[in-house]
Amino acid sequence: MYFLKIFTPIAIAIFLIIFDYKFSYLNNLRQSVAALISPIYLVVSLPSKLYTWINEQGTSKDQLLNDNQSLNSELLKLKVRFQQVDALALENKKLNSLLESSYALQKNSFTVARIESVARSRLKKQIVINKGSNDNLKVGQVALGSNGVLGQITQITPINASILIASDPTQFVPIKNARNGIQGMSQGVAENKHQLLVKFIEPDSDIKINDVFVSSALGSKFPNGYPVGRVTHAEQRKNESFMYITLEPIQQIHNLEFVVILNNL
Amino acid sequence: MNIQRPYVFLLKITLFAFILSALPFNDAVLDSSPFWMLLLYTYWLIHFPVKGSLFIALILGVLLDVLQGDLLGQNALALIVASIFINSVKQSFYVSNLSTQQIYVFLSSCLYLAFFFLSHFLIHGLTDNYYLLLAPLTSALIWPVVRFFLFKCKHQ
Repeated sequence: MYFLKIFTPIAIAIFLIIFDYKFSYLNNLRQSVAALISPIYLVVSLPSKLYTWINEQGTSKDQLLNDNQSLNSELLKLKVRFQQVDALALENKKLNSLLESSYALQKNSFTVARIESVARSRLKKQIVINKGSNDNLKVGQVALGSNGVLGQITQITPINASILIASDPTQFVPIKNARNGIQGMSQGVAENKHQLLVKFIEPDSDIKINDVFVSSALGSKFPNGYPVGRVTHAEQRKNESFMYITLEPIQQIHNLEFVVILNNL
Repeated sequence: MNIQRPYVFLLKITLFAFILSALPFNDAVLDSSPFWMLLLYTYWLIHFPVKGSLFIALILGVLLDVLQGDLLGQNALALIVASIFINSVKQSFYVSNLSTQQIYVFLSSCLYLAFFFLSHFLIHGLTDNYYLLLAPLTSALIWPVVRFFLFKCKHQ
């Protein structure tokens, strides 16, 4: 009886670990519990919300005018650059129709969210944003920062969502070399928070230091063409089936205030 | 003074532990911060002898896993094992002086860390998170403060 009393909860915990890691049967349970305890997130984020509010109240008129001016000039520059993108998209469409290709550029819609906290867990690399299922966000949606791919939504409550960042060891992102299109899969490295490992690149492929890898639409989970990382090391190790390549993530999470969530792919 | 009922008190300290566990700190502070849930649950285990304490540990651990976005069962397993240790030294813990209690808390935190880390290692591999090794020490150091506040809370 004593044996049962001790080992039943241990066995249940081990069962939960294995099932949560290997299968997705427990996702519904996780989402329901997360919704139940979501008021705690609200309480925890109150100080930072208060700080932001006080900061915004304390901003002087001159500061706001300066910000407005610089943002307007930035907007103008981006609009000009966007005209070029529009022209390229049109050209791409014409070429596709000439080649009778089914490939088409994706038109994504976005949701902008503010980061509430970074790394709530000791061993998982994740950030929490201030939007959730009330804003039509769903588990699996991709998050982008101003420089590139940030990660994917893994847990959601009505008022916020957790994003598992691309450098977490459990996060896989299909990628391709922006220079020559060689495809692989990036994965975080548990031993180093600021590194990504590229898997499944064939031996003696043309990979150089400082090459940029961008996201690939392979598997239809991630959008095509957003920067993921820059090559810091590439070598062919003896008796290894694939090349050993490491990347430095392009999107860092320090000083990041807002993220963009892709609504559809 | 009015001593609170066990499960009402457990509910209160659970909420408090969740809030402390979810506070947004930077990496180093978060990693080396005490195991709040273990500390508060240890106090409850020592002062409220009830049946099914390991199942309660399982439920609290699963809730903590969801709150922190960890694998379901990871904190639960660590909390159960630490609770087994605390249960086995309960009598001695209750009558010990503060420094001996701190040693017990340090040992239970080491067990918690070992099992938390082990499940992570088996699934994801090693981590470079060395600040995590400080967590048992900070847990032991903060124990007198936790004990003082929970004593006040219990006798409200």
